[in-house]
Amino acid sequence: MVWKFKGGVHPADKKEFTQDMEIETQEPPTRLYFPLLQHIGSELTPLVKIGARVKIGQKLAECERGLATPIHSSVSGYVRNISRQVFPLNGVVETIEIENDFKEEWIELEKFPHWYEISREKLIEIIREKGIVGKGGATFPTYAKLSVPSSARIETLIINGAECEPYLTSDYRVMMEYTQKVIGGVKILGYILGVKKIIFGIEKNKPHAIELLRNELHDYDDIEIIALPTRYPQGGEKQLIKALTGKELSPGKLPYELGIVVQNITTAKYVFEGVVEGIPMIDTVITLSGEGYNRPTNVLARLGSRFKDVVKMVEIDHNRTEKLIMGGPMMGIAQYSVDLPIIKGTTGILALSKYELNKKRTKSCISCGRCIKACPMNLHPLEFVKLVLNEEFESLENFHIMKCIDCGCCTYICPSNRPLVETIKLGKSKIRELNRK
Amino acid sequence: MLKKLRVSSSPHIRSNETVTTIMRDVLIALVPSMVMAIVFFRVQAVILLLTCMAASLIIEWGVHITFKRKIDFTDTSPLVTGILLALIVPSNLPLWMAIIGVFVAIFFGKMVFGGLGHNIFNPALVGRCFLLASWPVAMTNWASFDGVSGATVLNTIKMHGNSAATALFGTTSGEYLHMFLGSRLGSLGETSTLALLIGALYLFLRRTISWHTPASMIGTVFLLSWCVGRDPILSIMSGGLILGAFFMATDMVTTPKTGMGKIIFGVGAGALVVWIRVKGGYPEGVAYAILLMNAVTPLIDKMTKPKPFGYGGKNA
Ligand code: SF4
Ligand code: SF4
Repeated sequence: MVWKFKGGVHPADKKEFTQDMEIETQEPPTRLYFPLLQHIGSELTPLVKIGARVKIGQKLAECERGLATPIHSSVSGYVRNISRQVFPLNGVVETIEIENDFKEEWIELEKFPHWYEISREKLIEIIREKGIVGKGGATFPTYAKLSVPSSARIETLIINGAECEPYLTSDYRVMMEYTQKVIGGVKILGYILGVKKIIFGIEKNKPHAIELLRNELHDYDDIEIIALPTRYPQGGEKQLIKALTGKELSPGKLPYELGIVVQNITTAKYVFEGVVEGIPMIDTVITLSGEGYNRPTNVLARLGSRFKDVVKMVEIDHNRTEKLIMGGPMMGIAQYSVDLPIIKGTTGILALSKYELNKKRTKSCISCGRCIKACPMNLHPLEFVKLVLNEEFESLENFHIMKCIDCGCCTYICPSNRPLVETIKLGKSKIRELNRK
Repeated sequence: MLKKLRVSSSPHIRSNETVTTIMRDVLIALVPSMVMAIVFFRVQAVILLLTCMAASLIIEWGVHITFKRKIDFTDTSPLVTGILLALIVPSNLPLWMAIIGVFVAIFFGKMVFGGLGHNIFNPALVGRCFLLASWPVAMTNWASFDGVSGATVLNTIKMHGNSAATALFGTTSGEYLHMFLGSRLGSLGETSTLALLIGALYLFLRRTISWHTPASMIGTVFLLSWCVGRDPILSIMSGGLILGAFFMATDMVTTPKTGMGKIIFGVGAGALVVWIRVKGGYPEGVAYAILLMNAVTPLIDKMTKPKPFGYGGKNA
């Protein structure tokens, strides 16, 4: 049974550009850049010095305390520089620069093909050590999501294969081309959590993936593949839990309190590679799509490559490209340059034309209520905007502005093109600032 | 040199719906009623409609020019106001009165509040009520399609009861049919229920309006009319109820934003309609009912604030 989550929108999915394009492998570039911050959490400390020789898979930076995963070199070569540079998550951060010597030398990999003989704690430690993070947008470290308190009993593991963002097809291609690795990774995750049931949630616009996984897994009674109606943001954690189990996660609670853990489907592939093959997270599957490209496709790119190293593979047309976005069109981050490096959370680099952006004229709010109806968190976006502009931060918190998941539905739907998400983000950062004081 | 890339907050794409497309849909939805009005009232209807449409645009732009604001030519909402006003006045209303009505609607109904989106009351209804208060005779002097003036169905019920109204048309079913098609006395666009419903159906299919307000408003009128001993079917088809429920009580700016709020609005407006029809001095109460509910809309919106995800839930 599939439940319906509230709100949401139906943007054209635009996956036809790349869904049938097999993942191409990128030639590694000569220079690679590794920002020491790849996701929320603590900044890493470099483990290598300028001039040092590094091999593929070698740990470059680590942080022992706080929420962090190490990063590893994706090429062999020399550390050329460690300095503060701009990175795609907006801002400036310490970055390790490596010159590729094209020898493709690997470090000794520690493999655990018999993972079921290892303790759960040890497996979680391996997953951390391999730098594995969630591939579903927030790039949350996977080990942290698996480290549930021992008192919590996890019944269900949800594998998020919704990929509800328009254009993106990287999860889909991974399901199609790395099916066995995905299944292997899912089994490892299931073992670590000791779950009774594993549910794959995949949107109906990926019928081949659903069929493939159903065929592969039909012998398992405790694994279920559920086809979900196509609706954004189906892949949002709270929305997916609701859609698959009917349970609504109360504010401030984490999924494990409902006995649920959600993991992204591509993350499972990396878990398998990390544990069974010993390979740390050094690459990422990226969808290159949008009218700005002459040949949209999917690419397996080494982390640390710059956008321009991959976008040139598909002939980007800069005149047509109005916006360059890391991620999907609903939640991705607009980039102002192709010189920025690819990080662990990069699952798409979209080059969208003016027509695809479909910009409208901004007018007065006509109180149509469409933003409220579309909000999957059932918030009141329009009210937030008024309060932010009046700087009434206390009321904002009372109206639960912090529950906003930045999904973008409200701005997407607004007929007056009000800058709702933008203003809400501003309000949230102001509140965070005030609370820190 | 590379073209500059644009950088702004997500989301980066937009839906196709704009205020302009919404207004365009409303205009399209009003076409059947305008056609029916022309069929029944001939040249009179054409002239009245054109006058109100022209007046609405000229007044809107005039106000913009006077206050040195930029004219937005993509905004067709004044046309909607103009047409709606034309549809809710008698076909033989003197044209100068109609023009004054449009002026009041657009200037006092909308512009003084700050323009589209900031107004509290439905502009067309403001115009109509002003006209009704100023020239009550002209505003209730309905000419029928063949040029004979007389009393409306509602007036007849008010004065003489259900059976007298039936007598106007012969049989009960004949009466319903007349009411449904529109060959009866009344304001320009209020007469043909069928034409209004076709337009409303279009708005539903385009998802421009939701079922909440019309269903709750018409349902309330039906039930309450039946309770007070009036013919419920006649009651919902007579007067401006259908037009009001589908085209005015669904106005986004002046009515509640959430489904629950819309239902409260509809029930309240429906109850007021029956109350005014039965107890009030006027035979017809749709305009006042909607305006009164417009006034309490901010309150309804406050009462029906959505509860964030997870708060209403049954689960932990
Ligand atoms: S961005 Fe925030 S306010 Fe807007 S629809 Fe999404 S959750 Fe609701
Ligand atoms: S969707 Fe836009 S126009 Fe409609 S109520 Fe929300 S902010 Fe106002």
